[in-house]
Amino acid sequence: MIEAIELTSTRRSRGPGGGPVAQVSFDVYPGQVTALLGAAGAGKSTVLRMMAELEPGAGRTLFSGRPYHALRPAVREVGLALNPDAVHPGRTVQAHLQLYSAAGGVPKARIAEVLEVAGLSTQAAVRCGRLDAGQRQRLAIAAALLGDPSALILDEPHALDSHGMSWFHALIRAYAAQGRTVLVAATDPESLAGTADHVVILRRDDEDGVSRVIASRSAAEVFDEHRALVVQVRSPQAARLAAALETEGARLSAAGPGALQVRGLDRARIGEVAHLAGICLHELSEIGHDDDVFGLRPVPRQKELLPGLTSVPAEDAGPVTPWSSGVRLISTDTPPSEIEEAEVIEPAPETADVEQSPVGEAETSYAPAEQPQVAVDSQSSAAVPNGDGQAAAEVSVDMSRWRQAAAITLKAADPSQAGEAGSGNETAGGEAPRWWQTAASPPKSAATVGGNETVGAEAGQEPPRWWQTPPSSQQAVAPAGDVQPVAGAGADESPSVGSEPGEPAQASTVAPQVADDPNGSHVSDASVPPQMAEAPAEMAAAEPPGPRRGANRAFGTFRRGRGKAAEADAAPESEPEVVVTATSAASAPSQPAVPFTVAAAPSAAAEADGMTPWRAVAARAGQQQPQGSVAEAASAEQEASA
Amino acid sequence: MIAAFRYEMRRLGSLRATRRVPGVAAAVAAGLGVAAALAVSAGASERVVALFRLAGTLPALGAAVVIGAAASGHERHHGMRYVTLAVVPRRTWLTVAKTTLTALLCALTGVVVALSATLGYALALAWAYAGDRTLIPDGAAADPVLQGVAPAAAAATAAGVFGLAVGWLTRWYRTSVVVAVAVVGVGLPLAAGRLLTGLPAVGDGLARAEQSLRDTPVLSALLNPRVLTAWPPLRSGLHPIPPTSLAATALLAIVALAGLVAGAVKWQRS
Repeated sequence: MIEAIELTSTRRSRGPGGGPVAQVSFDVYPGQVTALLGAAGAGKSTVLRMMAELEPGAGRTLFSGRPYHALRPAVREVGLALNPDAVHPGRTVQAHLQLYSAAGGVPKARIAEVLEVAGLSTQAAVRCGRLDAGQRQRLAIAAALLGDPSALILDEPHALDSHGMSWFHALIRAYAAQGRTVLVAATDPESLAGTADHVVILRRDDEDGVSRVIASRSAAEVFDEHRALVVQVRSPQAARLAAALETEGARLSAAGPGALQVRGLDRARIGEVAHLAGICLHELSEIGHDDDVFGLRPVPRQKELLPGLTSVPAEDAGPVTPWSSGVRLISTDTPPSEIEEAEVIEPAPETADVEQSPVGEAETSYAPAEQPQVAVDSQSSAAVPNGDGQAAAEVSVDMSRWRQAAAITLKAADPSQAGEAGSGNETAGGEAPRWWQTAASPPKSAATVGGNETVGAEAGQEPPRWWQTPPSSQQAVAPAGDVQPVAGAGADESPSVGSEPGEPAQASTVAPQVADDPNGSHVSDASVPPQMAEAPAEMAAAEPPGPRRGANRAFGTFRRGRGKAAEADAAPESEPEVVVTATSAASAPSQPAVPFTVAAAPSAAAEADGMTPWRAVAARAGQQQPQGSVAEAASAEQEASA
Repeated sequence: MIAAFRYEMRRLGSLRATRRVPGVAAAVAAGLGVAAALAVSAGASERVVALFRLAGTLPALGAAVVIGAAASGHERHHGMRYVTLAVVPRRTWLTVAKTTLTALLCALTGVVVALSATLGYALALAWAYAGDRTLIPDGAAADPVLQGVAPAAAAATAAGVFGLAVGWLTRWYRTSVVVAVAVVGVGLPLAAGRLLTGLPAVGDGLARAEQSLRDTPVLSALLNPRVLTAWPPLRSGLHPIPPTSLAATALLAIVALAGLVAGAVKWQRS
């Protein structure tokens, strides 16, 4: 057992990212793999060096009740692999290990054994200077194993490749299974998920710059996806939404006017709850995980996710109202004051005329994880009359910048506007603004459903595009007052979603592409105007030629803020910022590259309901392919979530 | 303590500097010995012969500085300090072991280099006068050179400790080693000569001490033979002191010990 007691460094660590640590105390138990997690520069390596008394400071570390300097010989008690580059380039691999064996009295035969374990048997006579980073990492681990110690302290094996990491994880698991103690430092929690039994989290305080242990808990608590998931919800009826979510066991925290951060429920369930409660949602997005509070995976601010957002001229952007969460509200025809008022107002639950959808309807509108996909092109946006013909909604997703943003415009229209909008979304698309033209026009994009309308995307043969919204980032739109049952689980009550175009739209939430649909056909029950059939050609023309980078990118990486590599090389390009924007159809074309735009024109009926009548219609033409049912989509989503 | 000695012995033994530098120094010293013997056979002046003989001791000092610097500098330069401390988590033990083994290794290097110079000188002299050895000039035999082995070992030990301190205290390893070798081989004789010239009292004291040591049966073997105590005066009038002389060795030892203490303190606190 290793006991770190009040470790406090007295100076800044070496390197630019290193920092002092204070009052670091934790225990490492035998038979377990303990992970010391922390962001880069949090002081993990400093703590490990202090444990081995390689770094001056206060506090002490006891290895089975003895400090490190009292271990004789140390290499037989504790194996250290802290710096793989600490090798003399002129020494051979075998000579390097002989240093350890000489001091520890380890027989020379043991050197060949650990070289075999580390996969360096053929490199024994090679000078250390000729080893690559991964081989040096293996050499360091081999040196740690040389004395067959009862405890291992290993710094982050960042130089290992995927195969090496697999070997490393198997090694430490096997070591811990023998009842020995293993302490591993790591920056990425994912790297040790499934391997670590216990997690000690180190975080630097932003105020004083000193790192401290903020949590020491079991790995199950840290790596539990559902408990760690943080979903941000924005609604003009936040109070009602909060009450509804709390009844589901969610943990809530305020995140600005009308915004909530929800823990304990995934997005699908939140959408269901909101749908059942008849609550309009302006935002429903995963912003990170609960362990973000540990500073392990800081979620970039949404503003940072959209580089083009800040460069938008003010005259083009219209009145801009920044929200506290970083999401900014853009309104062109609606005074900002109204928008803000709409955000803070909590209308009375006078939704008696709202026809509640049965449970399970919202599930049907989600697509499975394997095929992501909501991306509605603005050109293909269509206003589809809902079932009662009272309102039409227009949803358009603008991919105004290929690798920067995507925009969705949701427009709710009154019956008088329905025909105009339904005439092919020409309200916006007919003007052919730049951002429409530059839209990704995904032929395979799934449709977004707003209100009662669901417009499926055209089925396509190409793989999902980078801009296609993953299931986890689907935008759920709450039903309007005239919401009708949605097919899916409630198929008995409403027509099956995924019917042929022309059928009345039934879905009330965003319906992304169905995974098991080989053509990527959209689950839709919407009536698609004939004009929409012309949209794909236009969009195809607007689609930039050439290969698209990151076509098969896993969106789970960006939305969860995980994956260093993915963040490093593609985050600025592919991480769309979700910006809820209230805009009119006329002004929508002039909007900048806002990835998620909600254009609203309140209908009289919705206003009478006291609710914001957001209606979303994903406009995507060419729904010629047979479409899967919503029930299939829901089941696939559940499987993916599981 | 045993672990520290074993570790340091293995570490020093695995260094290329440990294996190569003494051999190179011995070869250079042997060459200088041959040159001195050929100068004698060619009837060169005493000044030239003395110059070659004294130059034959310099490789030992240079090698000792390099070995000493490698004993500590390589550790810092390649980040091996953590490895060393992780294996032997006792800095004091490591300091003692490192200093002791470095001093012994440098002394051995001095002996080897001096013997190599002597061997080269003797063999070359025997080859030059192979026909009639009675023609060898008086005082030109190898016996005085052999007497310089012990002083060379003492000077090399001091040089090794000096190099150890250089490796601990300086940041730029390679540059500092080059400077340290130059200081020991050139700067030290000049500094010692200037010191003796500028401070006659010190010179007189060293002369009396040397004479006393020469009168002592055992300790006399540690001193340079008289034939090697005089460095030819430079044109500027400066009279350098041979680096293996008592004065130069004492001066180097004082500087080396001071640096060793400073380096050990720094090592302990790092």
